[in-house]
Amino acid sequence: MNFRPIQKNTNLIVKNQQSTCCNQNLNSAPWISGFINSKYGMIPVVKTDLDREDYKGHIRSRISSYRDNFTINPGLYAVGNPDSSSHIFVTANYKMSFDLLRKSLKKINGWILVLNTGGINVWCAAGKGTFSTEELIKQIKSTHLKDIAPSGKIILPQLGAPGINIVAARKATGFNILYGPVKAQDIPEFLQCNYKANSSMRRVTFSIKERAILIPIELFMIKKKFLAIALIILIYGGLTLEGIIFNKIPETSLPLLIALVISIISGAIITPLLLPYIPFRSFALKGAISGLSLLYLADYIFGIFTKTNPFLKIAIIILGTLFSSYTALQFTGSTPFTSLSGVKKEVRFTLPIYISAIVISIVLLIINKAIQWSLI
Amino acid sequence: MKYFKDNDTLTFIESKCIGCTLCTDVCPHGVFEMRGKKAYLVKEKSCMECGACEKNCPAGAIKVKSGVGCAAAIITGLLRGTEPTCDCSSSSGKCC
Ligand code: SF4
Ligand code: SF4
Repeated sequence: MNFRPIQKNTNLIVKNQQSTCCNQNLNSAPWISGFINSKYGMIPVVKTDLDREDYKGHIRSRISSYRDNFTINPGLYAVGNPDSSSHIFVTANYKMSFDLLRKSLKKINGWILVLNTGGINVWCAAGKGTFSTEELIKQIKSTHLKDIAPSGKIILPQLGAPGINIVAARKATGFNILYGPVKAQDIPEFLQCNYKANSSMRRVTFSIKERAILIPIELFMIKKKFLAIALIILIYGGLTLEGIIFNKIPETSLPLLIALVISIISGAIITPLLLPYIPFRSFALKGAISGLSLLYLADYIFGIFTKTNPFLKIAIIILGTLFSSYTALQFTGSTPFTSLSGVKKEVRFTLPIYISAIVISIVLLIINKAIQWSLI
Repeated sequence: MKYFKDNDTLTFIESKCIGCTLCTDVCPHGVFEMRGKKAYLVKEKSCMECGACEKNCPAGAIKVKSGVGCAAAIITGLLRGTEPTCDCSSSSGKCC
């Protein structure tokens, strides 16, 4: 029903391509194709094709803290040539969420209502309570939606449901509000099927592609820890009774550094990629298994630890496995299926093991130094 | 993919259900299914405790202890002695 050809607008709204809007920022945004002049002000019309700049932003926010500022202004936007009965699609003011929505609205005339979630995506914002019933009501009121599209149906993203009480929102606003599909790309089909979402549209997935795309940000977040640990390793390697001696560093530090890199590859790349195929449900165990296997393989094939002192070697294996396990455990924050009580269980179970493993490793590392210094 | 959870976090009181189907709309893991005029727990073990069903059920038939299943948030919570907190203020690049 939303696929009608572009038609004359209601008299409330006049399409106006040469905008006189004072908002410089909006005016210059390349994803805006024009403005609709309503009696409440200019409503930007957005493009449904993403361009290179948009994708560049997506890539940058996938690999760095750029995503913290990848936001757009909350409020009302338009796609196509909407009127007073067009659908209203709701999203968060994280530009990636907004882009994925507008990209899915090709050939659709509708409104986009952007909630202020502090630049966080719909799912996380709903969990945190910023994508909320109150914010939805507030934006509906402040954009005068009841005047602009009084008979439009409001389509919420399903993943916003943890933050929204739809019955309360319907009551407070008088709008017909529905939950659309999980993925914006299914919206056209959802509309075509008369607002019925089949079960696959209602489910979150976590395919290898969806997991792979999260790896860069995992690596980015681990960068600081990596540098701090690497520094400790270098200091430890060079430590002698006479102070830190640089040419002593490689002998001890190199195998430790290699193990550190292997454990990050294992915990932040291999474990997420092979997630369903690594045995056990526990992420910490999955990470430990993949870390241990990778360390073993590296030693077996390249013999990297053959020359190291057995005390150091055991410490390396324990610490490498531990760090891979810990890194994999962090990935629970990025999945769409781990539960709070499950992760709590896991943390409660693994923290004591991590602490004991660290204590044992420190003892081994001290013994290793003592041998190096010929104290024992 | 399956994960684990405590068994008592999600409860459903069938007698309260008025059959509005909202829980089957919001659940991203197909935990509920409509059987006749009532919802039915079909895949309780897949529940990720997002809280969407409880928040939207108009009859108060569902209770779930909801929160983020994120290790970093839980460890932060443990250290601070608070509930799990996902420190995703716009300045920090943590979790989601
Ligand atoms: S808490 Fe979330 S995952 Fe669990 S049953 Fe409710 S909607 Fe489904
Ligand atoms: S949301 Fe509540 S009332 Fe509606 S079907 Fe589910 S359990 Fe029943």
